[in-house]
Amino acid sequence: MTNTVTKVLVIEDDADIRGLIIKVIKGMDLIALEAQTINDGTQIAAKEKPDLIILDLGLPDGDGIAFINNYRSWSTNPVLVLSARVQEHEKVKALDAGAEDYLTKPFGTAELMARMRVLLRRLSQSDTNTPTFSFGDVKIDLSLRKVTKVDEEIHLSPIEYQLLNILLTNSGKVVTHRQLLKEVWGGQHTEDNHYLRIYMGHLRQKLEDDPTQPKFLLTEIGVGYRLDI
Amino acid sequence: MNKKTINSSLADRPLFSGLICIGIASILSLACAALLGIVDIANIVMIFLLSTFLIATSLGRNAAIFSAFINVVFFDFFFVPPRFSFSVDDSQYLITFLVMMIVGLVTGHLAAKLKEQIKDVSARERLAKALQSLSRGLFSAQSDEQIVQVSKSALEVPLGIEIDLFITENLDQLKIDKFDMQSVAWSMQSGTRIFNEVDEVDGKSIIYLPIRSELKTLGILVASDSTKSLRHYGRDDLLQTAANLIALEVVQLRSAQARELSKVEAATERLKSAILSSLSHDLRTPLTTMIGLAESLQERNQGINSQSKADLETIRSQGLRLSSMIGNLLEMARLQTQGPTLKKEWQPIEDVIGSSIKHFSTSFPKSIVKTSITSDVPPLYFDEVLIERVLCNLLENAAKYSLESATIEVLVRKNEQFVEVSVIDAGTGFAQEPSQLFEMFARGISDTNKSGMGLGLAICKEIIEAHGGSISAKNNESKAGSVITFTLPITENSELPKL
Repeated sequence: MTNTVTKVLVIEDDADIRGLIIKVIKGMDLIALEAQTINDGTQIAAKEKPDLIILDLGLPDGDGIAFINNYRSWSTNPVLVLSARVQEHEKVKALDAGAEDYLTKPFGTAELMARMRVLLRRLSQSDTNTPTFSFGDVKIDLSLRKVTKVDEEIHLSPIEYQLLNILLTNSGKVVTHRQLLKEVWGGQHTEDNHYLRIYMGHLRQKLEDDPTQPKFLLTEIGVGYRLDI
Repeated sequence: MNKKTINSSLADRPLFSGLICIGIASILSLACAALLGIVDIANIVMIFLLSTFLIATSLGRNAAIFSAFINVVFFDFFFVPPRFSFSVDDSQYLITFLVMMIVGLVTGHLAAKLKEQIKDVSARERLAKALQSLSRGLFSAQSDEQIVQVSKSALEVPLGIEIDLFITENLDQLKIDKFDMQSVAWSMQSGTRIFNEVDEVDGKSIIYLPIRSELKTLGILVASDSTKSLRHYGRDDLLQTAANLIALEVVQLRSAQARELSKVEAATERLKSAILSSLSHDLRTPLTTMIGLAESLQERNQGINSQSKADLETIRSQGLRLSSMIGNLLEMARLQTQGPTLKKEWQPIEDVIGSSIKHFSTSFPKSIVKTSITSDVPPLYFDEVLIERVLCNLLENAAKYSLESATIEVLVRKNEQFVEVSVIDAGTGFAQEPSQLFEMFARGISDTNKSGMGLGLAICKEIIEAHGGSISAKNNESKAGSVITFTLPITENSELPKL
């Protein structure tokens, strides 16, 4: 995992978009691999063991979710999913199946680079976690269970703290409703989204300057939440 | 069938069978008289008894009784001494007469009963066969007309009755002068059979049987026999069974038809959504390349001056707007063909407002949005994806019709049973009657060069109304600009935690 070259595999059937993504990858000084179909993608992934896979959900030869399920059976390396907006449910399914993040077409290159950086950074420092985080004027020390905003201590309820903790450990990357509910409330509450939304609202009230236009605790409509730091 | 008719007609004519009995007795008397020396008188008695028995089996009970009596008379007259007179010398013969009489009567009765039983069994067999052929016929019936046809042909001739079958749930469609409509109506409405065993006026036997599934009356079967009661050979019970069979087949036919219909509908739906999603994919793919390339060119530091960078920004933001318009178009197509399918969840409205503003500012980076939400606004029950589209459309609309860096306001407040969300701009306002804005393809300013197809507001209306809310537009009274307000109903949810 700690080899010096980082390989990114792009599985996308449209040549122009593939070209664009590859250009971005090369611009980041990474090795780009490409495939046009799920079939080719599976073979290249098995042979080259890429550090990151960028997968289009609208491929002609098959189901992207089946690919993710298969890939997750032997690799934990991140998968970034590309979807058109109509495939709303598909992308949630892909995330719940084990994809790390998604981008909706049309997306900008800056957005793509930001997503890729988050996923690759998480990969390289997966076991050098630090207990302290900060965003805006909020500082969090997980070892002391202490949250401060403008040096003033903020009291969080256990559930709010747990939510924040999960978002922090996944910072920069989307976390689906289902994943959050499962981690905080356990397996049987994966449909009770309203609890989650209300606690999330509280967290925003306490940590964001303007809760109606949050800068860090972002809502991904129809998908989940993202802590953008 | 023909044999039966002859036999029954013989048995039905007493004079004819009486003559036969007399004829047989005469022939026997003549034959035995000729053989009197050879055949013992006791055996002559036996021959007479045998003739009674045979008559019983072939001509029935009454003929057998008559034959027993005639045989005693002939035997007495021709053979008992003194011969050719009715007087009897030896009183022993009185016992012979008595035995002849009793044996004749008993055998006659038994034989006749046996014959009747055979007749009954074969009649019932015919009924069973009729029922069999009915169920076979119904099995292959594909329409109501075929069911009627099969039932008539399977039942009418074998049962010797007249059948009328109507498969309809609607009484008004049944206007039959032939029948007593009151009985038909009562039978269909109550779902019970009406049996008029013998009509007082014309002697007709008639039965009204509703064709019933578990809960519904699907039609009515009317059977009539003008000569005898339908109770003969249990034909009334058989008709009830037939009505049940027909009901079963009608139900099966209905559900098969419903299945076929829903299969077609499902296929149509699949086709529609396949077209929509492939359109969406095909239209967005070139846009993604365009926007992505514009963006990566903007980031290049060499060979691109600031004017070109501004042009690239225009390409990028117009691409994003085009993408949003395609989204509107596809969403409208989806709403029009499938109707809004809402995935409602309880959530605070702030979430969706925040994310729409974020989404909106990628294509309108210079616009400033101010939000204000009163603290009494409760969580609402709505589809976040669709409401986000409404808000994005309203924000884009506001931005398109006002100055580039103008401030747009989003106000949220509680108003009795609704939450009102208003998007306020400081633009040019609406030139036309605001209520017409929500018609498809209506545009606020007709001779404008602003982008947009007027679809946005039509979609908003569709989505908000599907949520049980309303949307309205007006020009701002105090200053320039317009206000578009939509409402979402407040519903109680006991599941929500008290916070």
